[in-house]
Amino acid sequence: MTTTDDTIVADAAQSTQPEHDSPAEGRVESRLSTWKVFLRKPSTLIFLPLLLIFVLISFVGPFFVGSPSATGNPTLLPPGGAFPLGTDDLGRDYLARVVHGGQISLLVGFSVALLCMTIGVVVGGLAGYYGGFMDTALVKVAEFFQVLPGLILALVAAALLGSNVFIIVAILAITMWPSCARIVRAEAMRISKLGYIESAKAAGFGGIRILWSDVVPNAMPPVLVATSMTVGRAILVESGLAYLGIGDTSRPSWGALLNSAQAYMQQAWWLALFPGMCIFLVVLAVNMLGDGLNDALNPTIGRVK
Amino acid sequence: MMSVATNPRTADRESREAQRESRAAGREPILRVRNLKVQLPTGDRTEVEAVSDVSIAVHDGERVGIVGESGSGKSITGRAISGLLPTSPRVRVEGSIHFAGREMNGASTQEWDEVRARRIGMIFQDPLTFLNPTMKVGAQVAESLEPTSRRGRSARIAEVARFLRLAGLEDAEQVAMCFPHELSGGMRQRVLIAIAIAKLPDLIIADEPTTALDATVQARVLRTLDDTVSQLGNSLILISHDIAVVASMTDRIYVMYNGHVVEEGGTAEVLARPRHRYTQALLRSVRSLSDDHLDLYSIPWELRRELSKEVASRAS
Repeated sequence: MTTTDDTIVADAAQSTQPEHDSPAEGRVESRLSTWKVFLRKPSTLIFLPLLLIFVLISFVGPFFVGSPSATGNPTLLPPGGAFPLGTDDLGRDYLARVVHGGQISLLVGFSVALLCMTIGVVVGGLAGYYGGFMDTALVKVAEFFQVLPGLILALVAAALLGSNVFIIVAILAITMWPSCARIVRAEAMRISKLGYIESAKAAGFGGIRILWSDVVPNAMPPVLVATSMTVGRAILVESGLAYLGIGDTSRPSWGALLNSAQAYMQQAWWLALFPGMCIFLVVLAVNMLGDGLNDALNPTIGRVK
Repeated sequence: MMSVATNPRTADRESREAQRESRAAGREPILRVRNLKVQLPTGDRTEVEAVSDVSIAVHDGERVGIVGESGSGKSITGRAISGLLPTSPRVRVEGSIHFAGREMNGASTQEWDEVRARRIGMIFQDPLTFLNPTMKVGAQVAESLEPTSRRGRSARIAEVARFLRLAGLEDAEQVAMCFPHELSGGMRQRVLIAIAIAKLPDLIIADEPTTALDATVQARVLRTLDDTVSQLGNSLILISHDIAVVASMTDRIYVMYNGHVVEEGGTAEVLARPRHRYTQALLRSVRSLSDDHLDLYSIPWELRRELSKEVASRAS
């Protein structure tokens, strides 16, 4: 199949409504697996390679560029020649800084999102499915973490434990997981009243098993979308922390680059443009992929070939 | 035709066989419900007695029907027998539910899970909402296989296909790879039957199993249920508002009205010579639907008022 055909198939699949139109008894319609549906979506074809390029540049690129902190070059050199992305106010190679910065930003973005999703699914699932005292207690815990002032917590932790990327990840995850837990809880509450949960109970399955094999998979679509948003939010919040000088100053993230570019906005546009574009494209790609994964995971949409 | 004998026998199965024999010797029913009373909350402070003073006995291999109109308490009775009433302190269950030598009223969740995992199979009304939409049908059947026949991927697939076929799905291998929404209503209901029989239960409770299906599919699914129950030799409780459905498939029948059993007896006997006025009226209204010579009959209010009085006097 050519790419054009694939796109048509994916388009046709998307236009299929999630209705429960029944095929005739005894006939089985062919369908595509979750991954095939996901990989054939036009948005995946654009944004998955884009995201992979950024990951590659950020994690393999550092071996091919010079040190991000070596000075001695002409300062504020525009892009071109020996410095494809120019140099900054101290004469450092901006390409090296952007490439190294990606490592920190992507690491923070993805690990915070994964941590939030994991904690959110466990806490939200237990609270929503069991309800009662468990729900009340866990909601209070989530509220406690949600009202923690993240910035002050970060400042205190940085002062006490030193500032490195893992502490930043931990602090962001601690303050950001409750929003994911809320989504999972609402979904779990809705799902626990549905027929297939009763079916599972009638089959004699215990609570944890029902939670894991019936509640969580069906609660995933909105959770995935929220998680993809968290990636973007974590990258942006990290840049805010970097602005306050929290984080590894020898390896600045995209956010830190963007913030230090502020002072030179008039003379050196490239200092703000490149890290800004990187953040924008990564957040966009992750959101689009999260959206696509959501559609592909829902077996009632876009399955019939 | 496949038989149960090909299934690997487990210690559990043998002990159940022994229990079955001892019950048969003493003419002991597998399920005996005595004076069951169920109170359900209706509002913040009010409760309704959905089931009052119901006694039911089901012997090994027997098929028992529970008929009654909407709100008669037949489904709540079925749920109480399988321990699936909502777990709230305001749901009160009184009386005795004696299943296979164990008193189940007041049993812990673990005890109920044990019984439901191996011994009671449930078939529900709406086949779409009662299947997990994100799990393939085959995996859902596999979940209720006996632990010994679950071992090994190929053995598992074969077992799943066997039960799907037993439930009347010819393309069993293909159906197993489908998600529920890819199947028709009739096929989904057959999948539910396959799930219920895959654990080789002693008792199947079918609560309005064909109400959501159209009439032609209904007949075929019922025939399948009938065949599988005959082949596996388990007991069946068929709960339905449709007296015709119950008549064709059961040995004994309980007629419920307003939470009470108003008449019980052999199905043929009750249908031929209904003693209670409610049963008579119910039969007359069903017959008036199918017989062109009769005017459409619905149960008159006077009779309902008298029935309510009768039922109230019984309760006190």
